[in-house]
Amino acid sequence: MTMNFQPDSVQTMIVEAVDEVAPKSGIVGVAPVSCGAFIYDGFDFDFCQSVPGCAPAVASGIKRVRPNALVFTYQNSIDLAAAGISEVLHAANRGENISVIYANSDNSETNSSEESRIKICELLSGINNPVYITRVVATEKDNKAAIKAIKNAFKLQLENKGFSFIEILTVVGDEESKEVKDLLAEFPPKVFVDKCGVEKA
Amino acid sequence: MAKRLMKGCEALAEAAILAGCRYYFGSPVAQQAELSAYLSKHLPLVDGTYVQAADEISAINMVYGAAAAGARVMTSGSSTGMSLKQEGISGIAASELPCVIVNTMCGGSVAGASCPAQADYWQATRGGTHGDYRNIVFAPCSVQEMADMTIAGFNYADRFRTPVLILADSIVSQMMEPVELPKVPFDYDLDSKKWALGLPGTNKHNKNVCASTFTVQDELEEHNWHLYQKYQVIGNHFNQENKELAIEEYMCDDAEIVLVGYGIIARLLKTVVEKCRKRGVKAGLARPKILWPFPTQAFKKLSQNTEKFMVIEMSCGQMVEDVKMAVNGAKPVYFFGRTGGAVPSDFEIFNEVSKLVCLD
Repeated sequence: MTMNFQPDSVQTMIVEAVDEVAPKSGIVGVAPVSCGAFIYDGFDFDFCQSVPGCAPAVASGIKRVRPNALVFTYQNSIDLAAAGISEVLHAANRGENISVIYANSDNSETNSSEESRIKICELLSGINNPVYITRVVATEKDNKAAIKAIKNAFKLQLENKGFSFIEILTVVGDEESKEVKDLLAEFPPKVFVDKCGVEKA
Repeated sequence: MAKRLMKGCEALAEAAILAGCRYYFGSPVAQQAELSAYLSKHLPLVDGTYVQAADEISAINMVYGAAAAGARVMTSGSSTGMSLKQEGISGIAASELPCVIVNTMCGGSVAGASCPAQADYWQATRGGTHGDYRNIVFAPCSVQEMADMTIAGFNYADRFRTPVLILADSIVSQMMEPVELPKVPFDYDLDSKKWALGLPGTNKHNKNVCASTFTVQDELEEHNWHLYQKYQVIGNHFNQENKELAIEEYMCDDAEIVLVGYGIIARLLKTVVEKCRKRGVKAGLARPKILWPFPTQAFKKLSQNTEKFMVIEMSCGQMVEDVKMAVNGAKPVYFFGRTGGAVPSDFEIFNEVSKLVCLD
């Protein structure tokens, strides 16, 4: 896939996962509001913008019409965890066969937002229908876990398993710093739900 | 063709299926509960999808996605729900996606009341929320029109790539009448819209993007003017090329007073016109069947022959402004309305008319 993103960006991780999964019947991404609304410029497949927070509902509509396509949302904290918190909860509760990729990059003392402090993975884990919920950390040096998680989610969708949620906690700066250690203690990277055993595969 | 006795909202639902609609997203409300019930039962029989959304915002955004993917898709609401849908409708209109949206109006603001009203005229005909956009608005007054206008609505939505609103009220939605439905269902090809997302075989180097947000000012202005030009084409279509779809005129040729009303009110007005005629008053009825684009040309023409207009609505007066703009001061335009769920009687309207004319 063509890409015009920074090498360590979440968008680049999506591209790598798409290339590995290689869906054969269409790919549709759904963009959030704010600066993420224009990420479609860098991808080489179909994209849909959405109104604030409503990407999971838009993706649900697309997936219902195009069940064989790979349909995912890319959302940031202001989109998913503020205006859109209801939409992601209900898409998960309906067990929509979509993948939600949550790029939580606002979670540090220097760059934080109130909504980014909401533990969405923990919240969604209280719902019965999601098949895969995980929080992974991506740093400038290591994004392998994030790419693997996205790939897992895409594979599950193409196997019609159901709703997946990937929170990618992007950490910038010294990984040994107290700030980052505190952040990871509060937002532990782990698999919350894995009904199909993809992590062991 | 055999007629069936159906409720207005059921006839609308069946017509949607006949028009090729296979996706419905919405949440049931009292004024149109039978619409949801009908579609939840009948859509699965034609391999369709019925989703009871958690709320109206979810519903309209699922419509957004399904329309972007190329489907014929519908949602419905009743006043309060329509307000919740507005941001999504704005996005759908600006992204030039076709869909049909049904509003069975009830009275009041916020939670309102489960009673008939026509208080959403401005919301329906002025776009509804922020942005330079309009929606085609049909106003059925019978169960037959609930069906006919739904089928036409899907066709016009696709033709002009724009949302179409069916603006009904809870009387038309709930009443039962004989209705004639087309025998042969529309054979809709899901892959016919080449701009749609997720089409088979479009993985690479052929991407479609559904977007309405622009960061460059020139691009946004260009897009808005493009929408405006499309709305001009729609306006010309209903005002010049297909006038009979836009307005019904009844005994207007020699009318000294033209009563104006839409939806269920227009049926009362026919009775009032006949009462007036029996009392020697030359009254007529003009019923806009499409509220946007408003049948301006028809009213200009009527104003050449009649002496005065009286607009009757179940609101404090909304459509009356469009009639005044169309008549443009050529003749006086009077108003009578009941609001908050009150339905005027033909006797009450006749009394108001009699204040303006000389009875025998």
